Amino acid sequence: MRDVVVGAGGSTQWDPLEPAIDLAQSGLLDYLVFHCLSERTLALSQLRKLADPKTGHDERLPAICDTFAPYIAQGLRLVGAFGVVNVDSAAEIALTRLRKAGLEGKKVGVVRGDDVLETVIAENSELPNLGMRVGDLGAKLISAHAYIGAEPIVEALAAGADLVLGGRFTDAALYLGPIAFDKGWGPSDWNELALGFLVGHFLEGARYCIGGNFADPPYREVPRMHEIPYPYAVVGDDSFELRKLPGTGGLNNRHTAKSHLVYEIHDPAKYFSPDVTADFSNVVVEEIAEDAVRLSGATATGRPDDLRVAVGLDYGWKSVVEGSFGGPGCVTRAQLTADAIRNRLERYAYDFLDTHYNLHGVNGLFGDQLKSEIDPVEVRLRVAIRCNTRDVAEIVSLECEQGIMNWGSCGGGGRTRTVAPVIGITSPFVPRSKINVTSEVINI
Amino acid sequence: MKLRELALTRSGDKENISNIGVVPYDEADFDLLREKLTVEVVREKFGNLVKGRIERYEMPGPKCLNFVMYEALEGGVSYSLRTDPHGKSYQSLMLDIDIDAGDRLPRFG
Repeated sequence: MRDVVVGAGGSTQWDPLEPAIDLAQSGLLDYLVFHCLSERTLALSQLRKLADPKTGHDERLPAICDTFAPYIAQGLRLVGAFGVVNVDSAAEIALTRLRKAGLEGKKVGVVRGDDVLETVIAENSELPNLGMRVGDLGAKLISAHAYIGAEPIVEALAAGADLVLGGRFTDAALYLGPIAFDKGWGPSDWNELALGFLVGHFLEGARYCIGGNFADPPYREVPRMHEIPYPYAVVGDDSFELRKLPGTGGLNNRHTAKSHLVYEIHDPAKYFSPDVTADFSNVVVEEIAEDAVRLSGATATGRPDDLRVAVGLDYGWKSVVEGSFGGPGCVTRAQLTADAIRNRLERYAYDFLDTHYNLHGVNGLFGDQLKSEIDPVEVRLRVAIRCNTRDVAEIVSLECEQGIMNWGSCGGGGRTRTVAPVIGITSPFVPRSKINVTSEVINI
Repeated sequence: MKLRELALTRSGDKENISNIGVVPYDEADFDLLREKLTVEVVREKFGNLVKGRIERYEMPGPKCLNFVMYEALEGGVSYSLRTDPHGKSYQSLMLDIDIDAGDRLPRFG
């Protein structure tokens, strides 16, 4: 089989498009893939959609269509989770914008069926992490989306789609789909699927796998961090090469590759995804050139019967207030203010779900587990309270702000105050047979 | 010496679970880390930051360890009140662990 070249378009909805444009311009790619989702994105997008039914998709989609239309015209194919929670609105935007760009004759693939809210209600699915069932959630239930695999992407590409969009694809499936399609792999070519899944595991992190989140001088230095590009993979039949464009910043060697190999995995011998239960325990990492790494050795023998579902829950409202103290005695003054605020807030405690007080510079990240013998020259008090109701969260945030600025210890300044809704995510598992995923291919 | 002399680490998150991969710079140190960087040592370092169990997995191919820490993010990324709800900084706490490496000299220490 010929090598397939797949590039990363980014790892979140907040990533810039410019490195993806560089990849498209290089002419090296067969497929450009956009991973647009995180655990929280779905539920937050669902709230937006409830307020306005025309929203809930990736807001960058119009710009992505306009920017990449010339490359699609030349044969580049795009895959992305652009639909987020509103696949229909995303499909409409893609068709309109690409038609306007003169791409009549090209096709858009639309994958539906990841929204399983009605299914989890009908099944009264068990929520193992909460020790309850969906039926016990009542009005707290906001959304439910199944993590779906690569098969509908393969179908859409096979039907000629030039751009494939959907919602809650598993991150790596966005990459596995085009690779499996191009290579002609079937749904039980386990070791091949494990290879494609490994490609996805790397590329979905975009800059993360080629020098992002890596520098720790003098142990680990990363050249020109501000110019880390998005990576691409040249996929063979039993290995792939992880690469980045020549002359770019960042780092791509055995250490960066291994650091990403272990990223967000649990049991490396049983990495569950809808398409394959992969074993990464014996992956081989080889430096084959400056800034090129070859990976091989991922295996698999099957896939899970049940699909993981992200259920979004209304978890109340969060007030976060911060303020800084500096100079001699700053830690004592900040702590005194924290204690006074805690006492002041007791009158609202009936509405509290959770509280968290910390001092940045002292115990913000590691609690009492890492102590310094040197007093910091400044600290920042942070008071975070999760409440049942918005009203109490608002009052609490004002009380905290006044504690820092007005009636607490001397010298508190630079306060910030936010109040925001909180979405919790919990994950039931739903039998594959209960989830009806479809792909439709529409002419532009 | 500190683990930082011997290995790099990376943190990831899924719901209320934090994982930290440990990659020795030199593959020859894999056995040393298997012996010294035990679940007990990690438990001691993280104390009450981790409320649930800690599991350690070995990856003999790339010669890495992976620690999976349950109930480690005060509810998880989506609603944790922690300053760092993802636990991205945990990788650095791991590097502060003391490892008895015999006569070895630290590279930078």
